[in-house]
Amino acid sequence: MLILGSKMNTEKVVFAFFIVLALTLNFGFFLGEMTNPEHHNVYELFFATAVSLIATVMKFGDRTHMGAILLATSLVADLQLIIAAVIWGWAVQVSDAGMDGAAIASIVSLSGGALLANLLSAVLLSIETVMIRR
Amino acid sequence: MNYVAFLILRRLRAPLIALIVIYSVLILGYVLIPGEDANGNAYRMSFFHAFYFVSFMGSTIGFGELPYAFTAAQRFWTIIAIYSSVIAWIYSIGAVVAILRDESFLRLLQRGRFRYRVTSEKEPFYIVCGYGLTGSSVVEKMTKRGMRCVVIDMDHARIEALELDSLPFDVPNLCADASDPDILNDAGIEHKNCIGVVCLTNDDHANLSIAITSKLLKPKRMVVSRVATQDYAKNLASFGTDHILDPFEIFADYLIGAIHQPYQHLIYDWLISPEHKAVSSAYTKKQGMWVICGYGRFGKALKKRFDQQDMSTVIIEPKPELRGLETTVNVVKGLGTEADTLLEAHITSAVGVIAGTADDANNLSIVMTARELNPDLIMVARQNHRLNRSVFGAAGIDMLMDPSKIISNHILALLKTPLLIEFLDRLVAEQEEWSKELIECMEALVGKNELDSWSLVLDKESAPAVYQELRMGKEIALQDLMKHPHERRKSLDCMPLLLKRNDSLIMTPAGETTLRIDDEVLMCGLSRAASWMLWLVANDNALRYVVSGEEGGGYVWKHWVRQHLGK
Repeated sequence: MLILGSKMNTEKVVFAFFIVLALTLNFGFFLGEMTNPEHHNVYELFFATAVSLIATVMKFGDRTHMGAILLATSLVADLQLIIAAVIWGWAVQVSDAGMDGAAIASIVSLSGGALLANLLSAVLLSIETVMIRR
Repeated sequence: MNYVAFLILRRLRAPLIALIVIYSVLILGYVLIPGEDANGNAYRMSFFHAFYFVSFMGSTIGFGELPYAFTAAQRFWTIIAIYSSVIAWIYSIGAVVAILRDESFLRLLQRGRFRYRVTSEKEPFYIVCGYGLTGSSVVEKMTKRGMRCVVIDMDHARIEALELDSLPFDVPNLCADASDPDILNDAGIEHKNCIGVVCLTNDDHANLSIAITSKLLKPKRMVVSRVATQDYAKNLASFGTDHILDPFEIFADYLIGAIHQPYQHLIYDWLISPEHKAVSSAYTKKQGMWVICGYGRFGKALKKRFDQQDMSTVIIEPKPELRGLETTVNVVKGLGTEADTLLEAHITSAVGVIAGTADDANNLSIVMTARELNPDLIMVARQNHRLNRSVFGAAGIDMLMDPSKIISNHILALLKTPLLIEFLDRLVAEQEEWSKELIECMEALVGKNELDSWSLVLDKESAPAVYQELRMGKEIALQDLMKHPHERRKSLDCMPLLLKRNDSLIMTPAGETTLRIDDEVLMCGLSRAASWMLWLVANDNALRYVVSGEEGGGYVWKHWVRQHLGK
């Protein structure tokens, strides 16, 4: 890992990559008109969920205070995204109304909540990075 | 236990991430690969169906192709999916099993359990560091007397031996380095019930650091330490270690005692070691010239004491220059295993020979050769390894120096009752005549059985019945407590050695002495007398019976007494 430099904690860098990726994917999904299913791509929701799950697992077994808080925020994001995905599946496969404006609105608002949690993780991560003295 | 949870989670990271990635890729694949429905129309699997299919395929590879029969491309992907998900699961399960069998994980679990057991200890306990020959024998004797202890040792094999030793009750143990303050903390060095620390590791430096830690945390708590060199002994003494045990010094004192004050020495021997010497051993002549083979730590300790008593000695040492010995008439160069050197050391006119080298085979050879040259010699030999016990036993040696036995007997005497040590200190000032009388009383009492000793403290906690009677103003004599609680005309097989009252000590108090509250009495005798006596001082009815002969108590008690005594 030459490009990362010797003074860095590889684990933290990889975690930062995943948490920011989850944030950007989620943001991409969130953008667009609330009630229009055309504006929200299901693949983006899928990737946002998968990446967010990986970020959560990477915080398992971290005994620092910051580690515990980051675990909490990314668990919140997972929860919101999984509920959004379940609603999507239910709307498309089960409900008679299909994917209508109301369903996509609740999915997008849930992903908006997850976006907030991801954002918080990223901010906390930045604070932690700034606090490290060189 | 928290450490354990964190460790498991940390180890689970890689397998979980692998599972998530593989599942994501597989689901995505099914969504992207075009399929055909029952009517031959092109369709794409939804994420819902893909997740459903991958989930059951990953775990069971069953249920068939859903929602429609697969196309060749989908089946191609399914083959990849089956193998990759099976591999992911094997990897994850393997990782979990590996954690459960992991050395460091098991050690953490053991340490957590150890910490829990020590924290929940409700009775006073000792910490014993080092479970070697000495440690194991100390722990065995302590547990037999009902004292609780906690054991730490670095060597895994010794901790396993502890588990196999079938002690009377559970001894919390840990395989770890006792000189680490964290470990000592887990062993309860700050626990309010920890009443003593016994340092018996093979490393003087480790003993030193354990002793310092304990003395810093609780200056008043007792610390006993074994020591191999005099430098460390001084170091330990400098910060107030209560008892510093050097086997060579102890044995040298013991030997000198046997030569000069044979009866006093016998009392000491009877009280300290379970298998004691016969009284007749005091009659043999021991004054005269002694031959010491080996001038190491043991030889030096002996020589110092012989010189103090102005007794002549001849030293046989293979490398006198190295040991700082000047070659004079009294120093012979050699091992002592050959007849020449022994003759040169005037073995024929000596009273005793001390085989004190660090080699057991040489020591045995010295003893055997010396006996051939002079059959009347008193044989003293140093035994270095416990395995050689039977060989030394067969050699017919008069006094055997076994370091681990000396230390363990001494420690037990220290822990049994502090009064015993006070008694032995006072004993030194007594005349031989007095000692002779006492040892004859002891012999009449126990014969060849083990002479046990115990102390009675006449306070509210340890002797409630006596305390109650004395508080009411009744008179109880010492001899009353020595009567059998079933039949007061019979007395228990024991005798008083010491009475401690307001810091003044009375040696061998008379039976008529009336007792007072807070008196402390040191008794000796058969162990079974001890249990009767300790029961008697706590039982009102039994006490009233032995003091005045009246049978107190309720109906049940009287009935019981009648049944058992046939009255």
